[in-house]
Amino acid sequence: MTEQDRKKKSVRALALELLLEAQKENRQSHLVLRDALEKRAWLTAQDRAFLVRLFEGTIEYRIQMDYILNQYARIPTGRMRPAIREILRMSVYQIRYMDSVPDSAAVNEAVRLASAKGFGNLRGFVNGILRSIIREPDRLRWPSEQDDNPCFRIQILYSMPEFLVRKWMDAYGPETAEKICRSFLEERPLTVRVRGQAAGEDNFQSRLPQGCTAEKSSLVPDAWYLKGVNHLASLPDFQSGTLYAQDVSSMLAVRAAGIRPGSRVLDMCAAPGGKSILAADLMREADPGGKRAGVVISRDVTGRKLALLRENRERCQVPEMQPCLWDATQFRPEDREAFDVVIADVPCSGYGVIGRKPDIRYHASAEKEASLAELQKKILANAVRCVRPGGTLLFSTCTVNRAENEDNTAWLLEHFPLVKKEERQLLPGSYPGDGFYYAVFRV
Amino acid sequence: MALRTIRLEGDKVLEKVCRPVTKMTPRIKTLIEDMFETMYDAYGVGLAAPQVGILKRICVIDVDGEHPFVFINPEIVEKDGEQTGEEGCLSIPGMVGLVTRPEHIIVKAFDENMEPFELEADGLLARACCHEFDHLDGHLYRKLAKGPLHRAGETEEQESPEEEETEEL
Repeated sequence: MTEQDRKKKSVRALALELLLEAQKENRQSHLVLRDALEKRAWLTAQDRAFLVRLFEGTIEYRIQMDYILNQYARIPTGRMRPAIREILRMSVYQIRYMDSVPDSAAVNEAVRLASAKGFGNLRGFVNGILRSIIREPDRLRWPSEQDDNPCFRIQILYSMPEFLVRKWMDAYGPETAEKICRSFLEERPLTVRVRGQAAGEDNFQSRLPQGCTAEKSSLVPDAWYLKGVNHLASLPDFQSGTLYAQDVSSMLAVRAAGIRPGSRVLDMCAAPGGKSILAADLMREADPGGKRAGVVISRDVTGRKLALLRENRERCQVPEMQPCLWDATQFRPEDREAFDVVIADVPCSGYGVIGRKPDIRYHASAEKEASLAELQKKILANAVRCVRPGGTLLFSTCTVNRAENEDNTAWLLEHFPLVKKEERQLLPGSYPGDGFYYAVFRV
Repeated sequence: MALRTIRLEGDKVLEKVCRPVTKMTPRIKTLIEDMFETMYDAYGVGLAAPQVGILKRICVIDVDGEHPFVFINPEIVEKDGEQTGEEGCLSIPGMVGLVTRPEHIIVKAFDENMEPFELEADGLLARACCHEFDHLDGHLYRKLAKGPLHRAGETEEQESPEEEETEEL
């Protein structure tokens, strides 16, 4: 066994531990992964990439992996011991989707992991299922367009729970629903906003390390799609605040709010701060003489989020931004009609960013949506009161869900004397960005 | 699927006689899935509905990871032979005791589709069945154990450290 083989083995064992950890109640997979990587800075770039791919892939393809396993295993995945089930899922993922892994290696490592987890008696069980998946591919039956209902087909092909597929089919029809689900599985570039003097450059690629590519967005000024960037935070342009990672959808929303020089802006749920920074940049850029200094009050509800806001304010050098700890559901009397623009980017189900946080799909439920919609209304009602007459309210979410988006907008129009200026549901798969919703109101 | 809270000895629910299941419902289906998840999560090999606070005659058992069984309204119709060994219980965590059970049994029960089935079991599976079915009548294994229960891993004669690990039923 070479040193490299040995390392891959420990990386698989680590992936298994993280996969089991990520399924515990109240854990989010991207945080489990981030914490694990932070603790293991010694992992080589190659091992890191292998771990991330295996971990994220196994999570996002879980529904499809279970569908495959259930056609070959005597007992359904729901009746398997959790460690065994997870070993099988990650092994099928390697067999199907990781070309760099020979099938035999995937199987041998699965058997070894089963033993290591104390299930030596199940080595034959694991081995048998995986070998038959490799040897008898014809036994696998995929849902077909002719024989199966489209909802089921989409669930299996794109590994999406029925609850979400049905929701999107009902709202947008089967074709668009399929497009949405497919886009989440596609590799997505990293979108950044280029700030300051570098913003005008047409050839941003020359500023990046070798092997990276940069493509200018046609949707928003200063937005670039980067590929091949392993560790954004290590780039000098990141450290100097020239680069800010932000999806085009967020940029579109802030730009739609009509922010002018000298405005007083309130960003109610601001962390990590991208919208606040863009708002400040827009004011500054439109005021080259620097005569009308604007202000952006950037609030969020936890100390950790406040720290993020401060960190990004420092890094990006945004003097207009004033981070502040405050719960957006609580009204401050001195805020009444005190702002030209209020940004309410409210907590949401996050269905628009499933491509980047794959386990969001498994946490979706009608109960969670209902409690979020209630929280959103509380924040929005506060937001309206903070806007001066004639000012602007920007309501946004990173989800694709009528109950949290269009329905809240209808609720706002029904309960407050607002004029809707613009409303947009951005659908993933239909443009190069996340699923995102925003509505702009004149107060 | 969700983890349910395992009731511990002293909880009155563990002393009650459970009611037979008359028909399968979505609620009971969910209960069965949750019982499997709860059992596996606790590294047990068997779990009875009263152990998660539900007074219905339902048990799940999986002693080898390859044969998950659901027993609804189970009955032991034949038993013979004898086995004596250590037994544990998820409702009395960390403890074990020496219990004598039949070596071989025949069980009649219904599966999760309410189809009747018969099963012959011996060894650990027979022991697990006896232990779980007792729960349905409000009995814990403490009453059957020879002498007091002791901590798992601490055998009475400390000379035999290689003794097999006890399964928690």
